[in-house]
Amino acid sequence: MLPDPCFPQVSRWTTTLWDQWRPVLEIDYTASGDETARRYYTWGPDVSGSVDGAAGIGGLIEILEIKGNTTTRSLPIYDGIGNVVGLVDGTSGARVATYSYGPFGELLAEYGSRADSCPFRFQTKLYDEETGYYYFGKRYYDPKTQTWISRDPAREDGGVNLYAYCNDDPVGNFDPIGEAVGPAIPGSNPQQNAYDALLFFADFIHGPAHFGKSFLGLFDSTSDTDEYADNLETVTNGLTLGIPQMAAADGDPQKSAQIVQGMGRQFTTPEGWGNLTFAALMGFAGPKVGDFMDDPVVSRPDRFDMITKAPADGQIILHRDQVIMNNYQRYYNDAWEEVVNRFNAGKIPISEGQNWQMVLGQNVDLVARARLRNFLLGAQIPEGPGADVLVNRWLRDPSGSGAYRIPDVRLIQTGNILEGTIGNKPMNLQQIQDFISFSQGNNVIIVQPTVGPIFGNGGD
Amino acid sequence: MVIEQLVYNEIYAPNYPREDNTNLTREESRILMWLDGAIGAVRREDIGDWLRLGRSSIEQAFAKVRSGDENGSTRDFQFAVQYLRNALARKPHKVDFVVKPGGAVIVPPSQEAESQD
Repeated sequence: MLPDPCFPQVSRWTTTLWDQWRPVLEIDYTASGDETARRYYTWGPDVSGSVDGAAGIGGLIEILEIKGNTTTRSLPIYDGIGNVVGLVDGTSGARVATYSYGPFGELLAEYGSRADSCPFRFQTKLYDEETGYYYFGKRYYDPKTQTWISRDPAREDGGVNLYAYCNDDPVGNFDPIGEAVGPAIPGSNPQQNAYDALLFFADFIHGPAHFGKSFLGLFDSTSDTDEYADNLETVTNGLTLGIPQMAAADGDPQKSAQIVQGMGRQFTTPEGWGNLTFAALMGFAGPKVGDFMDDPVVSRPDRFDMITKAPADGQIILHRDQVIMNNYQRYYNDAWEEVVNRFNAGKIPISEGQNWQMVLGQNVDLVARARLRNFLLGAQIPEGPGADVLVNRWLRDPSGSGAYRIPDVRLIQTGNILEGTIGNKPMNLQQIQDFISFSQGNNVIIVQPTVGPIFGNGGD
Repeated sequence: MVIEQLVYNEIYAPNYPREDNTNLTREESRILMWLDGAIGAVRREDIGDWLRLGRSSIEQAFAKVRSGDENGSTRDFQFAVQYLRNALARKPHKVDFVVKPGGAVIVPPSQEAESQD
């Protein structure tokens, strides 16, 4: 593609694939039309509790960026009203970007090695760095003037001031697409919200299986403990009156006390995250959000409908594979923790001719694969010969030598092979080379537990 | 596939991850249905025997999960896995000896022949 003579200054292009109000894929091109980068955006329920109820505000789960041979995963962190305030690396858990805003979305600061890789900022909306505007779908919002740059498409039905953003109350209101202003948490009950937020955070801390090292990494530092403890105490004290009532209503009056006690004992946070967590406690609000956190996104049928029943134009399939890869990693982490716990409790025997690494590795593989199959079944994603997803199926040498390998997961459409191990599998391992050779060039992704101890060579 | 499901149950039953949207009854019926299909399809008697042994262990394992006998259910799931692995083995297991109902131990003829060599 040659540069458009009308726009000779254009040096790159970006095309975007949208799902309702949310971008799901962006592809960057040079002016001559060569692809330079791809970014896949994975969405879950937003602050409304449904997948697109608030046009994605607070609902972005992950950014997967592929640039050349480099793939990075970034997980956004939100404040209480759905603004992206940071990114953590999806593999290491390291903090890679920080954003801060004024109340009307004025970008006050952005820094971090990956600050540029997330185009979503205030209200999880696309930020145009050239103009400084946010794209809400129906209108562009200018945080410098704190107004929309065009009139309200709802005309006076949206208020007499056709340019006012959120009726001049951006903390108390949402305007998901630039047309209709609603309360911050529609239909919510603050007491219930607080209780749900506590439940979520208990899950957050006690259930690393749900969130993995990336999230827990935020809370495993011993620095700044006192400051955070003060924040936490303030929050929990403020909620104490409400919690027993809610717990009693659930028929489990001890649960909330245990949650609060557990939180007080275990919550620590690195410097700079204290306020974030405080905000998140108050802000991951609303019964639906609590439900979502208890019942992770992968089990929501509406989400799968979106992914698997959308027109099969290729890009959607790629998105589906991304979900499968994410889930397999998570299942692997879950399985690793459960298997290690049971092994330590003496409930997993070692048979003759085996060693403990082998036994643990096999068990983790089996459990993770069982859960992946269960997920595929529930999401109505076909698995098996002839399908695009293969779990533990033979991969034969196409040359006819009779040799074969059995990778854990093979994703035909995206050309990815997932191989789980509790140890290390270097790329020059014959097994991995055979995967690549027999599949005629698939990418091999080694899936290791990202929680708990990682062992050296060995295991399955 | 069924071995994956058995180890999954050994690890999680009866407290399955909520997102898996399953329960004991569903898991048991799913595994037994698969197993019954396999038992009906196999021709080799020794494989059928292993599958039936596995089926029996699976039923006991789920019964023990329901009764709260965690150690017992774990053991039975592990037995079941081993039985099914035996069923999936390509070669029949070598018989070293047979114990008759009265307690007498006999060595199969092929073993006797080998031992005489």
